[in-house]
Amino acid sequence: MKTILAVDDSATMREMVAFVLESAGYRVIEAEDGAQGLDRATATTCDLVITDQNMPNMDGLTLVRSLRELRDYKSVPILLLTTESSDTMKAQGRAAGATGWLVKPFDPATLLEVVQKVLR
Amino acid sequence: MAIDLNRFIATFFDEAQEHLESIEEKAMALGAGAADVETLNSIFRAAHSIKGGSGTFGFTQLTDATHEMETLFDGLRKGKGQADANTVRVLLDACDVFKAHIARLKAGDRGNDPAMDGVRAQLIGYRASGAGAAAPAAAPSKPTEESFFADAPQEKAGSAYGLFEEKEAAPANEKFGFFEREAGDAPTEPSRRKGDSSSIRVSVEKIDRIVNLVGELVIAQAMLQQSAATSAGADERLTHSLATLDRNTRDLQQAVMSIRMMPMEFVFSRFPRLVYDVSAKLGKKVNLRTQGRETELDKELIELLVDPLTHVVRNAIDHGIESPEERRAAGKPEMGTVGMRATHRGGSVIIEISDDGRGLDRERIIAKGRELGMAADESMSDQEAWGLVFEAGFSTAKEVTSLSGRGVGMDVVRRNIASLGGSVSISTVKGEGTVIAIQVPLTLAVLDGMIVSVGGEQYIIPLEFVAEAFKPGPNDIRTIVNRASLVAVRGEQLPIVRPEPLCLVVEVDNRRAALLVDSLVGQQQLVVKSLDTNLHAVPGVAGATILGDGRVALILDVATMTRTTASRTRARAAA
Repeated sequence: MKTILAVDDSATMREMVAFVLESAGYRVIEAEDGAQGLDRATATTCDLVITDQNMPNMDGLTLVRSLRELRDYKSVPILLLTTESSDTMKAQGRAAGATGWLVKPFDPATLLEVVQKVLR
Repeated sequence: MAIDLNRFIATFFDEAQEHLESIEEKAMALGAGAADVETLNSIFRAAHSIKGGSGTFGFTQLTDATHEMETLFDGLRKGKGQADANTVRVLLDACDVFKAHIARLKAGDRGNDPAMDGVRAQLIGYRASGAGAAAPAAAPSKPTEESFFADAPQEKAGSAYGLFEEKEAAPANEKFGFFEREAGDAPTEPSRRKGDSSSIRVSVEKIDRIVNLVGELVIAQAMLQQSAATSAGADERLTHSLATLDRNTRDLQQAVMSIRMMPMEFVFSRFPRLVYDVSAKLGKKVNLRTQGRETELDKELIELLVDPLTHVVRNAIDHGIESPEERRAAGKPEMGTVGMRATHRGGSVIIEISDDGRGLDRERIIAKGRELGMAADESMSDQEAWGLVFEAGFSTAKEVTSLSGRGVGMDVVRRNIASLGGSVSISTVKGEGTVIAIQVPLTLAVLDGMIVSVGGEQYIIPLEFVAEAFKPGPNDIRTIVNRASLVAVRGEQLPIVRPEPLCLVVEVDNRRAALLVDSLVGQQQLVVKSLDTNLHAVPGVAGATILGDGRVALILDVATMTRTTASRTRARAAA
């Protein structure tokens, strides 16, 4: 079973992402901010990380950069959840080492679609 | 796949509420001059989170308005413009409208809310006027209202997601390339929700049911213990097992009680806004200082404390804190301070509301009490004088008209607190300020009680009120002349001879009284059973409990008992 780490400071978002992915047979680990995300990611090597951008303690981009420095996470796909799909965001995301982005709000089908694609 | 996202709406509403409260709190910090980047960031993030969630559920008006708030604070945190008193006002007004709007959404009203358009326009206007004038963030993506409720996957715009390729490539290519490949076999086996998160939401009814059941268990356990103690054939193993059961039951009870505990934070977090509004209305400068936000208290009590505390804090600002001019003249800083402090003491929580205002005026209070026909004169102690403030009808006309909208007086505060098994006391220094201390038990569900026996009946006195117990000597009990303990028996006056009693000194609100009882039976933790549903309220009785031997014992309401005795004595003295 593939394990996905969902990092978001919004409980609504975390619950939704977890519910959608778990319904599709994935194991989901949740974290409330970047710092906690990094902790959880170190404790369990995940197959995919989905993270929000704006969070207290450690933001999404910093989390992506920190994860990329870990040996276990060199090639693990990381998706950024974002409210805007601007070129700036894309440039920053790419530079940090993210695999892709997903615009919030999204519907469950889109989330599953992108997850299945990156995990294949 | 069809996923009903409605199940997450409740979480979203809770979360939005929390974010709005956080915004209000940070706004107050801004007003107090703390316009640091972290405060601005927090407001930005809170607005951002509400925007994200509301977008998911198609609450477009909320998405649009929070987007404007987010943009405003994005500008401010990047140093464009300056947060000032106006920012606080705009922010608080917006929060009010958001709250009302969320209440509408909760009630299922998805119709257009004109107030939301107004707030959005206000936020835009305010930003345009210079504050936080930044390049607007990207417009929020607006899903159609039903988008995510639909069973079939919606046709997605190409920009909904994308993957960065290893090699530099035009973004447009990425997303198209991505969409062209079709996902194949997806795992569809549903799995059980894994509890990785650190907390779960449980309805209060479920918890209360457990609390009740544990209460019954405690009673059953006490009965078992008692019958084992009285039966001759109890062997050592049984005694040992019963002791273990006793310990475990107690631990279980404590664990269950702790589920109902909530930090005072939930109450305190409402007050910065109240203090801001009330002091603005009165033209006073007031700073709120809270301490002990993490102090835990039963959820039920927390809710019941909100109204009395609100009243006391309003009073402190209205009557306690002086106007800036008055304060300056008195050599005090213009900015007054209202403090709220919660601490644990034994089985109680004490909440102190202090102000550094003018303090209570003994002469005026006594004069006012007389005017109202209360038993008041110069000879009364300070405590008795302050006690007048709690009498029904003792509120000035000014108070009723201006702020305490519901016309609640301190008498209601005292009554409310007393009904929770608590007490209120005042200490004050003229010119320096007042402290109102509210003491309430940690929980209403269990009680440490002293079991006493009077005339063959057993009664419970809450242990927190018991100061001491002693056996009075023959000369200790005196009888006042006009209350001689004589009984007329067929024309003959006979002195009443009582069995040698015990004296139990009880103390409530600094008032002490001695209760005469036949004997002390013991101390025990008791499960409180309410009488309300079965009987009319009996003055002097707070509830009932079931003792280990299965007998019902009444729990005495010591506060009411001592108060009625004291006022009777005072009335007699005045007559």
